[in-house]
Amino acid sequence: MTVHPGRLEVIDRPLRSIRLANFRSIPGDIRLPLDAQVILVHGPNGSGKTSILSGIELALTGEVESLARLDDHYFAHLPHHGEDFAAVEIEVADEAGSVQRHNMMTVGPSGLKGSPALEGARRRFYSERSYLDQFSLGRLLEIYQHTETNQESSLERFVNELLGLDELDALIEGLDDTLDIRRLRKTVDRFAEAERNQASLASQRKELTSQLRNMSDSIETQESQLAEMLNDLTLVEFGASELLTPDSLAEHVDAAQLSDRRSQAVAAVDQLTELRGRLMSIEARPSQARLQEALELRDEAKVQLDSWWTEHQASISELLSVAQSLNLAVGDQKSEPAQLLDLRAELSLELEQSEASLRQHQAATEDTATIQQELETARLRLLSTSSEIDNLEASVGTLATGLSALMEHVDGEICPVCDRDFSEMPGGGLRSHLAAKVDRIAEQGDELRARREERSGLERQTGELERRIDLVNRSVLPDVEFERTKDRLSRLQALGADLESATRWLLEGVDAQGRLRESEANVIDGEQASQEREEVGRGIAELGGQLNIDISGRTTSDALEVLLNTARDQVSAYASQQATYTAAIDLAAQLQEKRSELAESTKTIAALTYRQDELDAQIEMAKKRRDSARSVHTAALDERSDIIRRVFTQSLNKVWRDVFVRLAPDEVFVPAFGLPQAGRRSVSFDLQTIHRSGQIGGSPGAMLSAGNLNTAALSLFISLHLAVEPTVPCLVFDDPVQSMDEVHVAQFAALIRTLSKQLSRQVVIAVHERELFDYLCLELSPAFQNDRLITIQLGSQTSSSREPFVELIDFKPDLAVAM
Amino acid sequence: MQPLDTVLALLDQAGFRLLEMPFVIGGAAFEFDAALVATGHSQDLVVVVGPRAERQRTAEMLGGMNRALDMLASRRPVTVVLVGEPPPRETLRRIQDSARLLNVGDTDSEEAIGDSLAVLLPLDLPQAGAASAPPLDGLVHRLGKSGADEVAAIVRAATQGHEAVRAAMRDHVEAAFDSSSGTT
Repeated sequence: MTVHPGRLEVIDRPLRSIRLANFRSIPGDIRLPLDAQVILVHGPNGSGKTSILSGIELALTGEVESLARLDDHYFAHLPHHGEDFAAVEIEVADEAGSVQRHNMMTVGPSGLKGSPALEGARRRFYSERSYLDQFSLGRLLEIYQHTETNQESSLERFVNELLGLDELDALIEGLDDTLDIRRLRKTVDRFAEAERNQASLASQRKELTSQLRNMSDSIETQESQLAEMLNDLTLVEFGASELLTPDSLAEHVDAAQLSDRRSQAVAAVDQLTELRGRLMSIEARPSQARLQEALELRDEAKVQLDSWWTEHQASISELLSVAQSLNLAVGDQKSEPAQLLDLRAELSLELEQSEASLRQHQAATEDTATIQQELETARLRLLSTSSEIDNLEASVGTLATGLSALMEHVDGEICPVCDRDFSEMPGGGLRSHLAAKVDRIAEQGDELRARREERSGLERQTGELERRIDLVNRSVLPDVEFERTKDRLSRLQALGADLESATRWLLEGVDAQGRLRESEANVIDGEQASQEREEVGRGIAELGGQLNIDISGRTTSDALEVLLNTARDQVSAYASQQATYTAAIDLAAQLQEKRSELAESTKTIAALTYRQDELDAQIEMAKKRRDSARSVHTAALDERSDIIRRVFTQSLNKVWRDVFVRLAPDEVFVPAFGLPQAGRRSVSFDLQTIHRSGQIGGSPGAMLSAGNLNTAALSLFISLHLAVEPTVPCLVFDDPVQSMDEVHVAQFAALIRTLSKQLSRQVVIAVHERELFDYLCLELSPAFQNDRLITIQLGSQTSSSREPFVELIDFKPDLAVAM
Repeated sequence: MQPLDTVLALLDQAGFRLLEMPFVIGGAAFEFDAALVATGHSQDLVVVVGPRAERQRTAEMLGGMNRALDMLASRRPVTVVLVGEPPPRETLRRIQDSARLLNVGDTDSEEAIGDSLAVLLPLDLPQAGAASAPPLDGLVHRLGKSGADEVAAIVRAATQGHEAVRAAMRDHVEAAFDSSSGTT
């Protein structure tokens, strides 16, 4: 980029005019034109050059920075000596080219009024990039040098803005987690989660796989167990590969038949056991020989009994009828002799009862008489008491009621009955008299109460006595019954005597009866035993046939034992088969369950494996994505370094070199920025020098003379201005050459010419040296159409002319050299 | 290339036009090893004195030329480019009185010659704001088209600060877990 042919006119000249009233060293009110590419201000020291430039500064930015650094209240010192306030007013052209006369600002002890013409970025640009005041030049390199404190110098800030690295820095910082897997885990939750899941799946799978193995083993074991059982059941038709289920087992084994057979065998055992029991009891019974004996004894007993009956039948009948007539109970279960013997006991009981009855009667009769006497006495007393009560009642009765009622009507001493004045009567008033009467009645009342109580007592007494009499009377027999009882008693006594004497032969009879019964029982027993023997024999034979055992030639008991053992063996054989069968069914069911569990587990493992694979793939993908993100980090770092290097070497250092070399062509050490270590955020850098040969030298402070150091600072200032798009395309220098030696005036002028003509910056320079001013006028003459130079010459304070001398010099084509 | 030729070449590049020898100012003719005038925003008149030119004579001629210019009230700045051995100090001073003196000296190096001529040459500024190309563009270029597409969201987030970038990275990585098939 060199020249902008089109950008000639308007926007190259942001400053158009400045008006100062009583500002600093400038008395009065002056307006100076600034509408030129170059404005040169000349005046001896103290004539107001700085006032003009600081007036422009104040109008544009709202402050005079060099003064603000020294004194917070510098506003108070801005008005011209002796004036209360100063004013500045500036005309600027904005980016679009329209000229604005900005509102006047006034300043004084009370402060600044009015707002500056520039705002925001433009204001900052003017302050930092456009205007170089005297104070700053000497301190420039110091200001620009990186300080040890972490505060970013304004230069660093500028460079960072220049570099525009915010976004790259955001990427570098924001992606730093991609460098370390642990940090990545913290930031990317799902990654960490996925890794955890992966681990957990792996362990689950491991566990399940081992469980599966165990299950498999256990199934194998049980299958061989089952095979064994089936062998026991002699079900060999199952192939080894056939899957045995409870259902298929059931098909092959007739459980019902097995059960039946067992039941049959059990029944046989029961029957044989029973037969054995019967056989044993038969041993205890009478044999055939004994039977014969029993028959003979029986016949004999019968004969004896018959003869006894013949002898005593009549007496027995008679005694019985007497007993019946006496209403004596005779049990008819027993034989008649026995009945009569039993009767004795009952008889004595009856006797006792009758005797007692008679005794009671006697006593009761005596008692009744006594009680009757008592009763008479009590009744008499009761009567007298009652009449006393009646009397009292009569006197108490209504009188009390009446008197009490009367008391209510007594008022004073006038009797309510006779209307006479009771006070005529001796002994108290009417009320007290009445009250006394009532009391007396009450006394009588008490007596009445006592009497009543007495009466109640007596009534109770008589009542009780009457009850006693009734009670006693019950034991008194009526005459008829008395006689009857006496009669029964004597008859009972007679019977008793008869029975006593018959006791001996009655006992004999009972004996005979007993002997007959016994012998008969023995007979029956023997006959039954015989029958039993036959039955048992038949039973055994039958069972022998059922069990298919040949028992011929064995004794009954032997045969029985053999059969019993056989039957028992059968029972246990069937039982064990049944047990085996049940166990087999059970086992088959278990196996069925286990097989399905196994299938389930296998499915689960497959699903886990699938999920694992999926997760593995996802994690791999995540890592790849992490890598691609990291490549952005790397690319950002690289780009950042690249940009920094480019900006510093190509932009900043190149321009600085070019400017410095123009100002100090004989200096072999060219100042430059040391390539900064690209740190995290802002870059920090050092200043160094580079020899023309390329070798890096020490810092400018070490390598350059004081004068060239200032030149280095000035050229840095200019190159910083040139490094960016000019927000305010304006350079303002306040006596820059003053502190530089070895500066070739011509070099300086040529540089200014380049800045203003080639690079289209509006330049304002204030100088105090006449020679320099003249040379600059020449060097900076308008060189093309519309180019213009303004010169402002200020007299000294002591000179007579106090107005600045302003010249506007416009372009005139040069005719000297034929073009 | 001879230094003199280098000088002429550089000046030519900078927009100077070679004058025919001799050239005339105000009726007087002048001749040097070379003379050029600037075109464009400059009125420089440049006289080039080669190594074989006689220094003393050159000084006298320069003086004459200046007088001629003055008479015509010309405001053209005059620059003398001395190639070769510098003249004695006295001559040097005489030349300097009338013109800006640029001493190229004996060097062959184009860079050194350019440095000497710097004030006459335009100041080449690199693209203003060398980083005017958005840094992100450079980044995207590094990543390549396919690389950049993949991480487009992350790069976009850069304008919103490092936390936004971190979040975008997280999203980018976590996207791996969204697909159920586990493939891209």
